[in-house]
Amino acid sequence: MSLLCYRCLPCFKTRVSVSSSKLDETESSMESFVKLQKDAGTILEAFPLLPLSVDRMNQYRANVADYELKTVIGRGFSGATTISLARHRPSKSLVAVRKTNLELSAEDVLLVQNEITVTRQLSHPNLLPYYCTIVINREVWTIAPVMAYGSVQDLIHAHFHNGLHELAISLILRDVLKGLDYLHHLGYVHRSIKASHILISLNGKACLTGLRSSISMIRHGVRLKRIHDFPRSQIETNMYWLSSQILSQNLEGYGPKSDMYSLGITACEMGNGCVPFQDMAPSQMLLEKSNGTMPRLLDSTTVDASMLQDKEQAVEADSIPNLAENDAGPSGADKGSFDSLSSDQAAYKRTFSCMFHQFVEACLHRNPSLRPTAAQLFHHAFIKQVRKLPVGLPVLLSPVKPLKDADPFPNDMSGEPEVDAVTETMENLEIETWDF
Amino acid sequence: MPLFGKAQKTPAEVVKALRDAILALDKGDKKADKASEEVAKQLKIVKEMLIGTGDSEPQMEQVVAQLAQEMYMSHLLLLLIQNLSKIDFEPKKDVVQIFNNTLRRQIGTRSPTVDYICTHREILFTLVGGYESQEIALPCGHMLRECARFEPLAKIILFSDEFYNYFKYVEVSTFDIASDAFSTFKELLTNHKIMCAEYLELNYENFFRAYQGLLDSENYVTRRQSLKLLGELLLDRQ
Repeated sequence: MSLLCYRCLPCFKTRVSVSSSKLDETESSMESFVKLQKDAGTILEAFPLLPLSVDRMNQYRANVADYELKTVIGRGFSGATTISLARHRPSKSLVAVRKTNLELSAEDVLLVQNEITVTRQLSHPNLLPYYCTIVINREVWTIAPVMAYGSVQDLIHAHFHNGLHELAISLILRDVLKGLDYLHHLGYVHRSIKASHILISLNGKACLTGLRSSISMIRHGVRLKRIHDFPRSQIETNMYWLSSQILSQNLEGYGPKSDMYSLGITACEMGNGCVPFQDMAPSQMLLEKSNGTMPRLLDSTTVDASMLQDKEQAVEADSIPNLAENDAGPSGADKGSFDSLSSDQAAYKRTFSCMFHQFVEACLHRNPSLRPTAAQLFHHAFIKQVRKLPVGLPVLLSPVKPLKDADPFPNDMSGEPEVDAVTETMENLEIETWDF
Repeated sequence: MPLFGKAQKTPAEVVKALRDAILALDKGDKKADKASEEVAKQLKIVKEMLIGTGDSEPQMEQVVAQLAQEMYMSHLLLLLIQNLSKIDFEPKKDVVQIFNNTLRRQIGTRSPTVDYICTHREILFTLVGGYESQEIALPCGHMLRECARFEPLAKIILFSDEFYNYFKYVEVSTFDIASDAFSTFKELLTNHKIMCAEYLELNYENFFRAYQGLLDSENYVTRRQSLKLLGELLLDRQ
């Protein structure tokens, strides 16, 4: 558990030393200054695009003039949100500015409010922080660090149509588990864990985001055993990841363990390149989930040649839920075409490790009380295998290029070759669904 | 006595240790660092006694009662709130939970903490003042909304001069603080209908003159929220 100790988190320490405005005193003592620098270095690892500065949290002021908007890099929340790359003028650093138009229903405004208040009260290297939030005309702007690789969903869309490399998934999930354990420890249930809510920084650190649907298990100073709230407003987009405990809305209620189910679905999403059950109608998906159908990773052990042939004929596609998803896969380009089928076949001849299969099975256990907690999963062999991995996540994501610099994106794009190169990178990234 | 590990401290000891640690926060450099660690540690112990952790149950009613008694005697709640900005980021949330849990304690129909706060009003006003400072605004808001659930406490805030500060707080440009302040403002005005009606009747002129400012605000969120609240206040048939 020592690895998951929150009280010694670098972010938190730096922030505290700043907030008590004793910066000068702290710096005067050499020893603590070195420590402070080391801490700041760890944060830099998470958000490398920002220059080294101790005064991280207070540096970003609620002043519009400080932010020079560059280019739109994503959209989300049913079009109400756009994410732009921006330069923070005083520090010259890059930030992501998320603009949400508040001309939404009162219910949706409450969601935005919930997301912002919850996020502002959290501090963990694996949770995306919001530096500050500003109201400008009818929009609320949220200033956050730039996550150079975009979301894991973006990565799947951009390059890994049949899923990411197992070690990459392990590295990503390790970070997500740390963030999730912190959230659960504080009594929050995330309720929308999915690949589009996991963002990857330039150095390959994964951050969990999308706390819009999150809910606290602590009411009036008492920690509830279970909750019954149904996350109605975002249900159409989130339901494929949600556990049957949330979806069935019965008296049993649910707790943090339903996040573990979503994590299992997300693991499948990352491994397979598509979301389990996604080809089904919501009612059928719910039926499958409550009957205990367990989605699986698609590889040589779970997909055999005869099944693939069946799929080629596309006769029994519907009866094999896990396979059929590819037809309804997110990228329309390879929809139903014969070429993609043969490439799928090749992809599913891979073999995931037995540990990965066990990991997914443990998360998706039908009985929530038998699902492991985030802290327990952190010690799972599948996560442990990457402890001494010599290569980092960026190497494993290699053909995808991160978003490195805003300089090539002035508001007036000139035709320089460099600009074209980066524009191309941007296009490859296809960050169209930074779904916060 | 547990078989393994240290024997648990009594509530009196914990409260004393916490109090001493908070008082030591004001001392210079190194001692303050040590004190803030100690505060975090003791807050965690108190929180676990009251709320339990994810796995363990809270302490027996008897221990909790003793703990609450010690807190009243040593004026720990006020001390915690006054020093909130000096307490580290994570332990701040423990303070909120401890406060909220203590607040809802009941003995029969009596709420001893509510009675206690009624006689120590500075607790409420310190909380209201918390909106002035960015790093404690959200925790203070959380505690205030819990207070607003109890009529006597909502009444004290509503009928005070400090209440008018809200008209300033809900308009700050930082969205999270402004909207949190507005939630509190709204709960104070809508939770206890009869008391609020009485308040509005007595302070009609002053209140609506200030409220006009919110309706004309430059800030879209303030304008929208205040218009909605006005609708609720006017249309509620009670």
